[in-house]
Amino acid sequence: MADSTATTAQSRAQETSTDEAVAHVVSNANLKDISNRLLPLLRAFTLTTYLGKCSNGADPLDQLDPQEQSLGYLFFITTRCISDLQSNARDLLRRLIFFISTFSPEQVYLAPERFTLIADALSHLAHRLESPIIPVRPLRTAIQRFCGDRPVFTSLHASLAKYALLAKLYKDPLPVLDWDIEHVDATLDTNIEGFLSYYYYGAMIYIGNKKYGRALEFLSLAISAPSQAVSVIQLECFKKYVLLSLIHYGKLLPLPKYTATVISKFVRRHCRQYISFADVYETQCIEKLTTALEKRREAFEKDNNWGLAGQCLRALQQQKIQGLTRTYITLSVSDIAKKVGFTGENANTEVEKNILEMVEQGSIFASIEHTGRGDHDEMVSFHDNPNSYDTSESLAILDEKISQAVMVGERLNRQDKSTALDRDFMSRVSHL
Amino acid sequence: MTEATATEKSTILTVEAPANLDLESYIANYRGHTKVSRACFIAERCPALEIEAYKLALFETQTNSFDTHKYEHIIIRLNAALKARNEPEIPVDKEWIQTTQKQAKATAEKLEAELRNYKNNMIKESIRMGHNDLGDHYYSCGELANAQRSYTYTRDYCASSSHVVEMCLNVIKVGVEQRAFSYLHNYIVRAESVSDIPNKTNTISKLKCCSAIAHLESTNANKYKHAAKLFMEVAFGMENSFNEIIAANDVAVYGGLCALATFDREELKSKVIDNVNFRNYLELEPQIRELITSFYNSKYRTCLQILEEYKNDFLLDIYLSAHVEHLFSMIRRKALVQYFTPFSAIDLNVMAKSFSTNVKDLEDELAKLIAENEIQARIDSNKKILRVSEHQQDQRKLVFDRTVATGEEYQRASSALLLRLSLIKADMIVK
Amino acid sequence: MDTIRQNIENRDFQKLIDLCESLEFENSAFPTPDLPQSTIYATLLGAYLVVNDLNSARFLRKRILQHYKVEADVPEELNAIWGVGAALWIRSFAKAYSVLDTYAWSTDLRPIMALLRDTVQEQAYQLISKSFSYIKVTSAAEMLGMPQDVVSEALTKKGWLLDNESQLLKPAPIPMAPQEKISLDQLSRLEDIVVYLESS
Repeated sequence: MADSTATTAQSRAQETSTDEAVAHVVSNANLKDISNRLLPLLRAFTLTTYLGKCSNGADPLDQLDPQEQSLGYLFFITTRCISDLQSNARDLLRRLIFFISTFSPEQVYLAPERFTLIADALSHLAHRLESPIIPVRPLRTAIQRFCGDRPVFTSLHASLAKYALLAKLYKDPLPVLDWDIEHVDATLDTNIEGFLSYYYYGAMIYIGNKKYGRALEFLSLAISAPSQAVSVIQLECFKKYVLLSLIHYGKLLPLPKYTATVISKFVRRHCRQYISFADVYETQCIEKLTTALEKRREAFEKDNNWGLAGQCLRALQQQKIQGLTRTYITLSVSDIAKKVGFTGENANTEVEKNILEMVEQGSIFASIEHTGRGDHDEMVSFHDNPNSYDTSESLAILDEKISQAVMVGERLNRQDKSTALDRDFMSRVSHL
Repeated sequence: MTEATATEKSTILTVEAPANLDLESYIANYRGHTKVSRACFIAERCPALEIEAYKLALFETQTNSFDTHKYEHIIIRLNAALKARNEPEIPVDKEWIQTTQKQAKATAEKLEAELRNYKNNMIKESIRMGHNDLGDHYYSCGELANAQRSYTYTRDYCASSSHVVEMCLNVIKVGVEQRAFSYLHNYIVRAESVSDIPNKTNTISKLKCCSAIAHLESTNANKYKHAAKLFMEVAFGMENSFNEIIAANDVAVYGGLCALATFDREELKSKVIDNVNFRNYLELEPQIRELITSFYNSKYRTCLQILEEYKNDFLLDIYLSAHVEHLFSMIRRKALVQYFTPFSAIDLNVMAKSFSTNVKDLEDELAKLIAENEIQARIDSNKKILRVSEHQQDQRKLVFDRTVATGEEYQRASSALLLRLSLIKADMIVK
Repeated sequence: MDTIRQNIENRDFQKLIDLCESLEFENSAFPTPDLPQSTIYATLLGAYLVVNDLNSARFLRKRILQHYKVEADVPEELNAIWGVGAALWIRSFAKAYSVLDTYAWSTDLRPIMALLRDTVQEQAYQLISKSFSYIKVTSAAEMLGMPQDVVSEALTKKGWLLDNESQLLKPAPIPMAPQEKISLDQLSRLEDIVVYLESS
C-alpha cells in the first residue's frame, strides 16, 4: 500500500509544479493525512519544485503557515536554505528562525531526516553571512521544542555542541547540555557517531566552563557506550578523561564498570603517555610531574591537550596545599613552598597567589599574616571550615539532590521491570 | 648467576663495631651449625670483627663437623680478609679435608648398608634409627637436602609420640637453617598436636621459638605481633637446651623488641612487664628490660638512647638484622603518638628534646603521623605547638559531603544506565 | 540602547548580560545601523567583568577576535576593556587598576567602567578581609588601588587596626549572615537517606 503510493507519487512528481506542491500541503490538514498522503509526496518532490516560485510570482514560503503546515514548510525552507543561492540569506534566516520557534513538533516528528537538515541549513546561512554564532541559538530552540518535556537524543544535539565550540559560545548550549538524556531512538535519524560526537564536544564545552565534574560524566558516557569496536572519538575522550580526572579528583578514576573490554584494552595500549602521566601524578611529586609534563609536550600538543595537562600541575600544587591544612594550623609561606615543591625566586609569590585563589574558591580557609620584618616570613594560618552544614541552605541542597535521585531511581525501576521480561534483550546487554 | 651474587653482596650493609658485643662469649652461647652461621653473618657485615669471627667459624667447622665445603668457603674468605690487612694467611689444612672427606664417605656408605639391611629385615624401629643416623651424618656434612630427606623418611616408622616429636624437631632444625619457613609450619603444627608430648614444657617452648622465628620471615607489623606473643609464652626452663637454634638471651631480645613495636600500653603491662616468666628472660638482657620499662614510664629519651646504643648489635644478629629499621621506626612512632596522648597542646621544643631531635625534623615526623591519621592533631608551625584538633565540625562536613556525593553518584549512575539500556535497545553500538 | 542604559543605571547586570547576549546574536544575524556590534561587545564585556564572570569574558574576547578577523581591526576600547579582564585573569589587581585609571573611556562606557572599578575594589576588600590576618599597608594599597597615605585612613575608618610601627593593617572581621539552623532530627534523617542510597 505504502509502496504503491510512493511509486505513483514519484511518477507524478516529475511534473509537479510549485503551485501543485503548495496545494498538496494546504489540502492535507490533519495529522493522519499529512503522514499517509503528504509525506510520501514531499519526499518525492524534486529540487525544481522546492526552489520554484508560484505562478503568480509569489514566494511559496509566503503561502504556507509554518505552524499549521509545519511539515511542508520544513521541506521548503531547508531545501531553500541549502540549495538556493539566489535568494536573500537574511530573509531565509529570518523565516527559518521563525519556523523554529513556531513549528508543530508532532508534524516534524514524521520526517526526522528533514529535521536533521536544519543544522545544515543554519550552517549554510552562517557561512553566507560570515557569522559563526548564527546557528547556535536557533539549534538550541529547535532541540528544546522538538523534545518538549522528555529529554530524547536528537540528530541536532551534536551539531549544537559543535557549532557552539566553533563560535566560542560556551554558555548558550548549556540549557540543552545540562538536561540529562535518558532516551535514544534510532528512528529519529540518530546514530552512534552523532552520539559520541555530542558527548565529546559537550565535554569540551563543560571544560571551557570549568565544570570538570560534568565534563567527566560526558566523557565517560562516550567511552563506556556499548561497543564492539573502538571509535577514534572514544580514544580522544579517554585522553581528556585522564587529565580531567587528575585535575578534578587528584587521581585517575577507574572507567565505569560496564565499559567494553575492547575499549579498556585499546586505550591502555594507545594512551600509554597519558596513563604513565597519571602514575607520575600519583607520586605527588611536583618536580617529577614537571619533568613528565615537559617530556610529553609534543604528544600533548599534538592532541590539543597541552593546556589541560598544564592544569594538572596546578591541581597537584593546590591538592598539596589542601593536604597541609589538615596537618598544620600555621606554617610559613616559605615552608609551604618547600613542602609543596615550588621552586625558583617567585616561589613565595606563587604560594601566596595560590592561597588567595583557593580561599576565594572556598576550597580552603586560611589567612595570611604579613610581618613587618621582611618579605620572606609571611605566616599562613589554616582555619576550620566555618560552614557548620546545619543550615536550612545546606538542607535545601540535600533535599534537591535526594529528590532527583529518587526520581531517576523510579525511572530505572520501571525500566528494569519492562526489560527484565525481555530475555533476548538481557542476553545482548550482558556481553556489550 | 654471578650478577645476582654481585648485587646481593652490594646490598649487604656494613655495620660498625657494636658497642656491647663480646664476640667470643656470644658465639659460645650457641651449639652446632648456628654457631658457624652466626659467626659468618657477623664477619660478612662487620669489618672490625671479620677476622675474629671467621676464625671462630673455621675452628668450629673443623672441630665439630664433616663439612669440608664450608671449611673451604670460610678459609677463602678469611684469607682474603687477612690479605687485605697485610696479615699472614692461614694455610689450608688439606690433610684434614682429605681424611674428613674419606671418612664422611665411608660413614655414609656404612650407614646406608646398615639401613638396607634393616629394611630387608623389616624391623621398623631399626629402619627409623637408620634414617635418623644417616640424617645426622648428612647434617654434619652440611648436606642439608639429603639430611632433610632422611629425617622425613623416619615419618613412616614413628611408633610413639616421642618419635614424632623427634622427627619434627629434626626437620625443623634443618628447615630453619635452610630458611624454608613456610615449610616449617606444618611440622610445628604436627608436633604441637601430638597427644602426650614428652618433656612437654620444654618441647612446646622450642616449637614456639621456631614458630616465632618463622614469623620474622617478612617485615610485616602483624607478623611482628604474632612473634612477640609467641616469645612471651616461651617457658623459662628451656635455658640452653635449644641453643643449636636460639639462645635464651635471644628470646628476651627478639621478644622484647617485637612486643615494644606492636603491643599497646595495656598489653605491654600485662603481657610483658607483669609476665613473671618473661621477666626471667629479661634478667638475662637487662638493657631490654630497661628499654621496655623506660618506654612504659614515658621516658622516651632513655628508651631511644638504648635503641641507638644497641643498634649495631641488633644489626649483626642473624634473625633480627633485617627488621631493625622497621622495628625501630615502629617504636619511635608509637613513642611519638603516646607522648602526645595526655595533652591537648604541646611545645614542640620540649618534645624535640625528649626525642633527641630538632624541631624541624620533629615537625616532619609529626606531619607524616597526622597525615596517616595516627595523631588527631595539627601543627602550629609559627608558635611551634602541636594541638589536638576538634573533630565535630569535620565529621559533620564529612557526612554532608558524603550525602551529597552519594545522591549525585546514584543519580548519575542511574541516568547513565537508562541511557545505556536505551542505546542497546536502539542497536546504537560502536561497530 | 536605552534599555542598556536603563539596566546599567539599575545595576541589574544579570538582565543586562541576558539582553546583550541576545543582542549579540540578533545583531550578527540582522545588523541594524544604529546599534554597532562594537557597542554590544563593549557593554557585554564590561558587564561580565562586573559580575566577575572572567570565563565568559575570555570567550567573548575570542568571539571578538573572530568577528574582526585581524587583531589590528579590533576597536581600541575593546582591547582596553579586555586589558582589565586579562589583568584580573592573572590576579593582578595593580594592572587592572592601572588600565581602568589611565584609559580615556567613551561616554557610554564610563558608568560601567566606574562601576567595574568599584566592584574590583570591593572584591579585593573582601578577599583581604577573608584571607589576611595582617597585611602590609603597601600590599593593601596595591590590591585596593589606593594611594598608600589614603588607604590606612580609609581602612581604619572601616574598623581595621593599624600598627604604625610595623606598618601592618589588621582587617576587621566580616560579619556573618545569620543562618537558620536545622534540627538534629533532620540531620539523622540525612544519615538514613545515605544508608538507603548506598544499599540500593
